[in-house]
Amino acid sequence: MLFNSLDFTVFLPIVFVLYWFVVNKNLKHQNILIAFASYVFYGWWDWRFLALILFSTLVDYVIGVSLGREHNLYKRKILLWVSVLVNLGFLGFFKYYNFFLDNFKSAFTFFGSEINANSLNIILPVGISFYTFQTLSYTIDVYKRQLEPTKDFISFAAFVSFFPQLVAGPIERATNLLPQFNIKRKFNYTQGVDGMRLILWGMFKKVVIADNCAFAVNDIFANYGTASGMELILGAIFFAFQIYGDFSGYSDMAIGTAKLFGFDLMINFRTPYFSRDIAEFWRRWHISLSTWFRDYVYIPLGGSRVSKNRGVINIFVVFMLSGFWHGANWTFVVWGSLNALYFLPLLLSGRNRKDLGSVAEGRTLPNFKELVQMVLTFSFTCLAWVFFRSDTVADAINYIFRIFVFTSFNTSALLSHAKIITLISIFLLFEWRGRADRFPLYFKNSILRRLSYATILLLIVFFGLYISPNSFIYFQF
Amino acid sequence: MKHFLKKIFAYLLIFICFLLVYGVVCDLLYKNKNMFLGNTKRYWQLSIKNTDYDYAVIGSSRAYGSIDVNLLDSLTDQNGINLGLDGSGFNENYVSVKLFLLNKNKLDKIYLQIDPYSFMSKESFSNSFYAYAYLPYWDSDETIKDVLHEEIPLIKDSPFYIPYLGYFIYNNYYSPFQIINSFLKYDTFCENSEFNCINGNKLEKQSISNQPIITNAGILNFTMNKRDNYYYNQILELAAENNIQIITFTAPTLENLDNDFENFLQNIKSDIYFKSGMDWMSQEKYFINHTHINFEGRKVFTTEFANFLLR
Repeated sequence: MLFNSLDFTVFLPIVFVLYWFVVNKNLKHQNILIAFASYVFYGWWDWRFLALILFSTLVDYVIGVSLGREHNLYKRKILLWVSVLVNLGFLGFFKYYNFFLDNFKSAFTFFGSEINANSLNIILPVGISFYTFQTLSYTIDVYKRQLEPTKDFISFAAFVSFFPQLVAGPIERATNLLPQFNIKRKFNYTQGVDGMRLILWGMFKKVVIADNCAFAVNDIFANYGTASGMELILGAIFFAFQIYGDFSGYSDMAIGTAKLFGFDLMINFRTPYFSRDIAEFWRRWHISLSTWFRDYVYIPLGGSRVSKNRGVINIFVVFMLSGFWHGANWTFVVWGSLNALYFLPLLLSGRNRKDLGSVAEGRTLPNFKELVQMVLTFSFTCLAWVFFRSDTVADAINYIFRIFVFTSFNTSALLSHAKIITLISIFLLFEWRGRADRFPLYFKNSILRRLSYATILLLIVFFGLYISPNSFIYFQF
Repeated sequence: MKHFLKKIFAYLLIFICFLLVYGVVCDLLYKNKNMFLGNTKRYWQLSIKNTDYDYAVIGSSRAYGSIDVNLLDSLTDQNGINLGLDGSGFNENYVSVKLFLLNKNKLDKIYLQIDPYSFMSKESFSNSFYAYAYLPYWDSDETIKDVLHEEIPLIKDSPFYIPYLGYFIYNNYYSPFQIINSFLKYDTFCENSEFNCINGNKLEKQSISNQPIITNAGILNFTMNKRDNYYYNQILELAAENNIQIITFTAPTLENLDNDFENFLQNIKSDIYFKSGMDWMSQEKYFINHTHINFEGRKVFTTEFANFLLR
């Protein structure tokens, strides 16, 4: 079920009414309803894959309980590895089996021998990368004794399958979300209004910004061989906004929906395109995944408290894994590596934790230096996005090559995309204003606040795209 | 909770009221003469009212590009109009003729282009029916409503038709910018259009596709789509109800029309059918691509068709 579909507009009010008016007296019933609604939400796409979530839930629940009872370190390690192998096994099979097989076949062919193995026609279960990482975080935290294992299977099932963030995040930590299932929830007006505001803002990002950009991006990337330099630059910029609008839009709608049910999810994006360097960008982009890799891969590898050489390797490992997490294609690995390359100079010079606050804090406009820093960071990010969007690494290199070498620059491309450029400008204005707040649509002045709602609603009505609702990009990861 | 629900309902109510008003305004604007949208032939056709023609050419791009109405009129001493539309199947042809007649236009004859592609529209056209173009006319006639309901998934899936929903869903075509555009002068529109604004003839100034000509094109596997056949028969019935004579024809192609289609032609209801006697398969010079003839080819084909009509 998509957030921007008619199905969801019917589904959400039904679950909301049942949750607050029918089962509101009993916490257990509320959790049962959430788990059930989440399975319906997921099963709407393909009910057969519900078995996968259920199995994953069962395995991690049992392992969690066993870890709670077990004191023998060796046995605890075995239990942890069982969980890791089961979860990553499913992920590996569904997401990476064909990739590895094709690459092995190519490697063998390269060295003059052939292997006979056929690719499988595997359907990638929606959101498998997200809930796999979420359940893994639970087992790892229990193993590290940072979290008490839950004995309540219903609340654990609801935590794993919680429908607002099940298929595209934020990847919640058990330490943050799981305890919320055990606390009596009361409807909070402010939380509800914040939730609706986030849903509205997320919807705008998705159907107005991301989907309009997608139209231009698909066309430009499909015909990059004949597009002008300006069109190619616009293609890369539009993709940057497409993926941001798409993914952060989903996250906002997820966080907003969760708020309607009394839950607080972690923030996933903080105006990343206003970052002054790549380190700041990664503190603001897909925060739930970045911190996951930081806590469960980077720090266990030694983090930055190792030799310089080892530190460089650690950074590459984390960024390449992050790229590979996005998809079984070398383009994602190159994208991750490129970001590691951007990040390294900052790490080696000890400037990777320089800009911790928002840009131009307490001021309306940035100064010249900040502006240049933001433009440069955004440009480097766009360059990397070309790899992320291209079908092959060769396509991405050709695309970038054509920007600088073959094609002439012209302004007609700007005029033909005037609508999208205007929409992005409006979006950036709202983002800039709300860069220090959690809610871009929040104005203290009630007239301004209502005007901002009306503006966003009108933009959604007039410029949103609704013909065969576009799926969210991050569903495929 | 009460306060929250009250607020949500109030916002929802205002939003729905706005959409309702917007829907009514769009209905009024787009049904008005000359308020067509964009430079497309579909909207131009819908703006024609109270005009008499001896004939209309109906069909897809193969009808639009294969009959030169100016030439046919001069050879047969008639006054015709080319209502051929790029990428249209029989369902769209039916809706466009129906609306053309509902707009109090008169026709004596319809020259209807038929071929295997139009009986297999889903397989042959990337988009066989630009349904959104007919949204303002959704309630003009029950049969049009049925066709639109069938073609627009969101409208089909909703329990009842909501007037503004169409404008909301297809806002890419019905945005406020389009409303402003629709006020553009008719003359300016005609100067820039790729067809003759008097008789719908394809203009020679239109750029010709660069698609390569496929020689030795394969034989078609004709499997008639029931839905296409249904709308084909609807066109015949509509013509009969309005005393319009139907003459069917098949535009030239470099593709072999297989035996199954030839057999099918023996059984269809049309009384008069024209198929060129020329061997087009050896005349690549007359083609833009393997299914569309160029302007030279159009002259040859139209002359041949005129001779057939005069016989």
